[in-house]
Amino acid sequence: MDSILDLSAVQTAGKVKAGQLRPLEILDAYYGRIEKLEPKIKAYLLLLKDRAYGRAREMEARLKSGRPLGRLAGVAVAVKDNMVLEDYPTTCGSKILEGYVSTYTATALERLENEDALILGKTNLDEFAMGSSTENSAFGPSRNPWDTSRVPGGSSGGSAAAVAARMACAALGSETGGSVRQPASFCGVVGLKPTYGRVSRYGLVAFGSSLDQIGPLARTAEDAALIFDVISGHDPKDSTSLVPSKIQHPSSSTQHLSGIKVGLPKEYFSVEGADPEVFRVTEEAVKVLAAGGAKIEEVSLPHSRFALPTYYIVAPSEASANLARFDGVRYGLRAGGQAGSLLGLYKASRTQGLGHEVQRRILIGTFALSHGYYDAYYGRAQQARALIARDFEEVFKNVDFVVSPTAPTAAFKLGEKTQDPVSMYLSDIFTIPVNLAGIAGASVCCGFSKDNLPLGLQIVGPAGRDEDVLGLAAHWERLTRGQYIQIPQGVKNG
Amino acid sequence: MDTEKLFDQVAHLARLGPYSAEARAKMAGEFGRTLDLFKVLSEVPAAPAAVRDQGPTNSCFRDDAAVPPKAAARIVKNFPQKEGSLLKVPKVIE
Repeated sequence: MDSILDLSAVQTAGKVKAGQLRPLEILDAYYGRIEKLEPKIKAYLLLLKDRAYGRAREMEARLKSGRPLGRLAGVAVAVKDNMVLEDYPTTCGSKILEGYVSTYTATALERLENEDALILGKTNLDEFAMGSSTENSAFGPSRNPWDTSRVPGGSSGGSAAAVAARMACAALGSETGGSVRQPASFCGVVGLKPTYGRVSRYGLVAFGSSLDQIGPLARTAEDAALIFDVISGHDPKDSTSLVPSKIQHPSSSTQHLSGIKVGLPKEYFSVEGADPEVFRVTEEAVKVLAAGGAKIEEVSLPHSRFALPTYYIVAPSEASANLARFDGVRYGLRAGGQAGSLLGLYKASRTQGLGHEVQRRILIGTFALSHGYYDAYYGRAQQARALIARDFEEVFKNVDFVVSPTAPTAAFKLGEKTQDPVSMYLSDIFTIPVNLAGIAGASVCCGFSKDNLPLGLQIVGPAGRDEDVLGLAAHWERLTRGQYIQIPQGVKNG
Repeated sequence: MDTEKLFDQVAHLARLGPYSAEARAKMAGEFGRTLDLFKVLSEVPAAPAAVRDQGPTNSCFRDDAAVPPKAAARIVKNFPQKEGSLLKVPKVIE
């Protein structure tokens, strides 16, 4: 494999700025790799070759004239196709946005490019980010580079697969209930779900507005931290963006592992249907943290059992409102033929243009918000959400982090769960509480299953402690000498 | 109310359907099973929980200041159909 592809984001930017590596060479290496592997992995929905080469030539001219380059100089990134980029299509993995061309650029993408990252293309996802496998994409599923008969996870599966297969140096995904961490776990890369409000949602197509966050996927915790640092920060264009002065800075206590307190939530380790191998590998990882100086203790998150039903009321309720705009009039696909009436046109366009899972979630959300059911469903779910958030607040009075498996199983086979939505929903059982509580969570690879599939360790920290969460992930990588930062054998040589 | 009747009402509110008999049966079945998943929420303590604090954010109200508007040409350049600086839309049916 080309040695350029072996470089981390931090190493790449360092070499480009030092004049040891040309941005055009980086693009040649990555697009060459994509050309070889894309038919197998199907990570991308759109490649932005001309645009990327144009920006790389402009960077080279700047470098030649002695002008400085940004912190992500030449870092080749992929972005999930639910973030808008002016003048280019955004599909959200849906037929309903057919022909839609973005009229502005998302803040997170603008910030990447302000620091001289090169956007390679836009990646596949479950339609409107609703799913855990990319099988809900209207353009077909992506494949897991560790075993192409398996899913890469979702909904940011295209981004995770691209990073794992070295078809991008790093990527952006988005989370509503685990859509960065779960695919990171399935593909053996690092993924961060930032504290709600730390990354601007401006230009991220809305799914569940009180839950949605953009997060990085990268090969190492150090790379994820660099990208997070670039894309985070207050944005006046997003009214839920956190004010900088209120964000906690990295704690000095996480500079060393000694004295750090790590909590293991007892409720998570007794979840039915989870693969015992996942718990075994997680427990081994916890022993490594303990040997490194961390103090481990059992903690309780007593309302965890409400998390899954709460999420599947809150997120669809918000989705039912957010996706009402896709009506055949304002965007993309319009039903052909004689709809007969305006109402008929709305219904026909939405029923033809939206996929099965998205329709089901809109129906659930509409039901939960409807007269006569609101209090029993949406109202009750909001109460449960507050209790789940309070559980974490209580736990973080005594420990610095909470650690668990990221997902209850390794990557599953394509088609294995498509007939049973509730079983698919269970794959986010450990990640969803973090989104409901609005706090920070990351996944880092901590071992492999007997089928040689990566398994993720989830690290959760209090709101605003995103840097510390990635700091612990970096500790983990150092303690294990980077042995879990691997290229999948099947795609090693293209 | 039976699940299928409820399903039809909700589908109308959601501006979805009509479904073929087969699609309706599948969707209504899944709808019912998903509602079963929510039954456990009846055990959530009935007393109102504290309102969640979304964290410190700025007011979404901005100063009432005059700013240059986005150029019309930039706004309309990606419209699917246009006439000059105007968006051209298909005829409204009703």
